Amino acid sequence: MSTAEEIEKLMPDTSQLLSIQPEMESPLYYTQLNMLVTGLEWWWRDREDFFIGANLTIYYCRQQLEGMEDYLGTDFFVIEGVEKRPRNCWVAWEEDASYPDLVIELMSDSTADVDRGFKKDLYRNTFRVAEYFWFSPDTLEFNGFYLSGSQYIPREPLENGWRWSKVLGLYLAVVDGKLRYVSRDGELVPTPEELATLAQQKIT
Amino acid sequence: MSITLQQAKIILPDTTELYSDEPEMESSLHYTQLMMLVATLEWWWRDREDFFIGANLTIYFNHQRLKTQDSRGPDFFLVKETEKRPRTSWVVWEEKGRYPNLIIELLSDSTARVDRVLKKQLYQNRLHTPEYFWFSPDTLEFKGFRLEEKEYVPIKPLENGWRWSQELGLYLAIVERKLRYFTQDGELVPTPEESALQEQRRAEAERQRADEAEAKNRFLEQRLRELGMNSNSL
Repeated sequence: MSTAEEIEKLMPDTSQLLSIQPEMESPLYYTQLNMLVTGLEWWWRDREDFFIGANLTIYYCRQQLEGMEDYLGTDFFVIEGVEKRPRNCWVAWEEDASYPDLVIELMSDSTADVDRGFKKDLYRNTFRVAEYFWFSPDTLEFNGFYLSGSQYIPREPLENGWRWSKVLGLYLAVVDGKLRYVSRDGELVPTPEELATLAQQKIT
Repeated sequence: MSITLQQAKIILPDTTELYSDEPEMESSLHYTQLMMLVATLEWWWRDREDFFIGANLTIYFNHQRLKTQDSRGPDFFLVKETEKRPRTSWVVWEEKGRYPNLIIELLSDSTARVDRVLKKQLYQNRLHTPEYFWFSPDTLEFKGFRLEEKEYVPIKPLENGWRWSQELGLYLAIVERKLRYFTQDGELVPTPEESALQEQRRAEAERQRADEAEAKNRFLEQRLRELGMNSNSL
């Protein structure tokens, strides 16, 4: 038996753990992920109170350190109310927030069963992620859920297929085969690359 | 400096036996109410092995908060889909990252403000607890909230004041100044004592019925003998 004070002296700083999530499988996936990350970072460029995890491991229990858990990492997640700074991974017990507020998994043939089953259950029942979406850059399958108590309720799309995200305050929409952000007013949120291209065209 | 999984595994201390660090209950009224909630649910779910009830127990969920001793625990919490065994505290990273499904705080004058504001925020924003109730054994103030996306939405009571808990699959309601459980069909969930008492009464009633039947038999035998017969000759 031990007191919190005794344990604290023994607790290592695990905030510098490395991610164990494998590399993304194809350029299609990498490009899509990059679009989601840079698009949101640009949209929230004045905010300092969030973290975006891209292809990163979330550490949540000892069993993981011992290789006993099936979970390796999450494709895309957003956590609000924390300091904006780079991290190698997310260690739940070292941070001011435990778990993501929003997750997007980029689904492939090899991950589809896990994304629809094991991960959905982990996000709902352990992480209690407020919003969970998945999107397949191959088949363009797109689905979403929001938390009600400890249940996931499907987020019904608009007629045009857009799904609202309360966490982001944006729609998620499939545009030209890519998952994109659309503002409340229906404007496509540009990526920094698109903005740069536009600016260049104006000059020339 | 980065550390690998192998290194972390070696250096993370065993925190499964961490002591709870909670103040004593405010009064015997609070204590009795707490024990009633715990014992009744334990009894109601006596065949289940997949839950844990914490009573006045610390939840440890953050490294920094170990240092600042800021890991306060709820009066009553329920974790579902976990192993049923005694624990000296609830250490989230030792429990597959699981947080409570439901929390009940018993308000007193000294805790009411913290319970209504700070703890509500903590349970909503940090622990993402699906349901949070509070009840004052003094003033009988009773409220409930359910997590919808990221925010607590009040659970509307029925006309009779009962509030449904999805996590328990039971109603919570005030009976004789106590917070009690009711089934979906409106039956009071008995405490173990009430259940024992009911069982005793049932056994007594049965014994009485048996006694009466025997007395009646004896009377009939007697009459038959008076008539020169016995029950075997019938």
